[in-house]
Amino acid sequence: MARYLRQRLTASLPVIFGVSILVFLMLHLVPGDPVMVLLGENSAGDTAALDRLRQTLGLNDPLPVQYGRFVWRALHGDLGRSIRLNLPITELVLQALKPTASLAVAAMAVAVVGGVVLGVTAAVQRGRLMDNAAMFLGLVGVSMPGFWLGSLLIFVFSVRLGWFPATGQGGLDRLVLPTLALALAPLAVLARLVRSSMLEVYRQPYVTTARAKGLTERVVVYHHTLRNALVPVVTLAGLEFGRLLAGAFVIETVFSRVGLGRLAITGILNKDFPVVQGVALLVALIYAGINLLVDLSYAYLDPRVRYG
Amino acid sequence: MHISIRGFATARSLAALPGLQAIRRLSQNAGASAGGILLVALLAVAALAPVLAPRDPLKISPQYSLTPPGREFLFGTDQFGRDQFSRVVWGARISLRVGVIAVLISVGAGVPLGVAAGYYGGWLDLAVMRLIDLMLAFPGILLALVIVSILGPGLNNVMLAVGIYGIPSYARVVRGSVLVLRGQPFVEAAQAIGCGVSRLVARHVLPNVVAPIIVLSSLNVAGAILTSAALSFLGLGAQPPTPEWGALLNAGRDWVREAWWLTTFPGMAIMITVLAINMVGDGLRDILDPQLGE
Repeated sequence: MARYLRQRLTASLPVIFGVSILVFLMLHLVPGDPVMVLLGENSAGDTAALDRLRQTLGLNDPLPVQYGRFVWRALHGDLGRSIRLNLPITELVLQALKPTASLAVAAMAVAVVGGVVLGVTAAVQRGRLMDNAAMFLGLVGVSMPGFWLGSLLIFVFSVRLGWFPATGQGGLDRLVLPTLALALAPLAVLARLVRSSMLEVYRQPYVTTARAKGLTERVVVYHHTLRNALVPVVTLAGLEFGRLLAGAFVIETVFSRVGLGRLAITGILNKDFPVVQGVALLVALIYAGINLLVDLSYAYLDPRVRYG
Repeated sequence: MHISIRGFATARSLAALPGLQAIRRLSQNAGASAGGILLVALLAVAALAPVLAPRDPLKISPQYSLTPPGREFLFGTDQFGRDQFSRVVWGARISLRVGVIAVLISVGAGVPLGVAAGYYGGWLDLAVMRLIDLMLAFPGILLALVIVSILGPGLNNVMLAVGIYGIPSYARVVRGSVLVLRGQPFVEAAQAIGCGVSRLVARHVLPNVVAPIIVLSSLNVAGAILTSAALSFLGLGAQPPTPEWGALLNAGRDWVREAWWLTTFPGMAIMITVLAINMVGDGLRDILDPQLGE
């Protein structure tokens, strides 16, 4: 197990290294002089101001030196300062992470529970009405834009019925609608996969054996089939969580929640690159961590990985 | 080995299959035919937008501001009195074009990368796969967001960003197929009789990866439309007054209390379009490439 853990950890290092380079290069990939982009078009004449910013950002040093400094500071928790807000980015990003993470985790929980229930129901009832209904719902779920679903939920449950507040954050009632809007797409994707994965496992000889020795259908479904069908589901759930984290950016906008999405999008619109860099780096690191957890969960779900 | 040979035999004969026969088999699939009919209707709407739209989608008429849907204005009007129906109809052109162009960018870059990585192997393969891993390290819409922040907001940049975002799926699928193909007797035979690399790839390798590429592309057009609409919704894509569906939703968001029709119809348009393409894509997958799907 320790060897497996070490292997997985080393495997994720090159990706993290690559991510840091790409995020670092963002500012330099922008067409034109980065300092001029940061200060705006009409700063062209103000050479003193341009030079000053170049100096503060350390843009006069060779790229490898700049990169080294970027990594060194990032490792010490310093992601630089926002150009527009003049605040430390680490602080901004960590503050914004909380609402985004709570939304993403809540949506993931709903998506996993809903997806497994729907997928198992569809697989057990294969070819019957429930199966067709569940799979149609799945198709609609992947086709429906979350930001539109969000607007509809606001209109129905907040404007018309007044059950939930439409916007803002804090309190569980404000989390319900955005969670639903965010959860639908991954729920649909997971339901489809759970169904096909269950059907795949149903064909395995050990399921026939389990039935043959007289176990109840319930035990066969939950103990023998579902557990084994979950291995591909966990992989996809990891991928979906990453997508969900980024998808939360859009849903936050719908519900006017202040989170990583708001931070990143205002950063993009204001050309506040250090902020965008900070958000991108943080989300990519979280995502790498999730993928690591997914790999480790294989070892838990499938003993062949543990001992292999 | 048996499985792979049989798999490629089907893919091969299907690649050579005239379009007509593929359409016939597709029409036997209920979901795919429903999706296909919808899609044809949507394409017709996009093509005939100047005829179908009763008004100029950009014309401001303050006297009709925020009129609810009715005989005069089928989908109502926005705060500037612009006809929402005309705007949604013209939006079909924009969204379909954005989806198709983004996927063409993904195919245009992803397929050569996959062929090169799979065919040459070695350091080239390693470099391409590391690049792909790096792109996949930014989950979901984040990669597109990073690219848009580098290029700047705008519909064309969104198209490019969504196109780049789609490259990994093609590179991976094509690389995998090429790796298997490289060991096939007919490829080795072609090599043995002195077939050049470009001819080999064009005549013997590419025809065998056409089926998965078509399946992937049909599903990716749907995804690309959704992602571009999301970026426009965030204000990073189409700028007002362009009647792009995501941008329409964004504009209508401020009026959700007063004018439900401003968000309802563009959202429905996106969903129906994406649903239709997904239904066709699922059908294509069942026919052309059963192994690709779950």
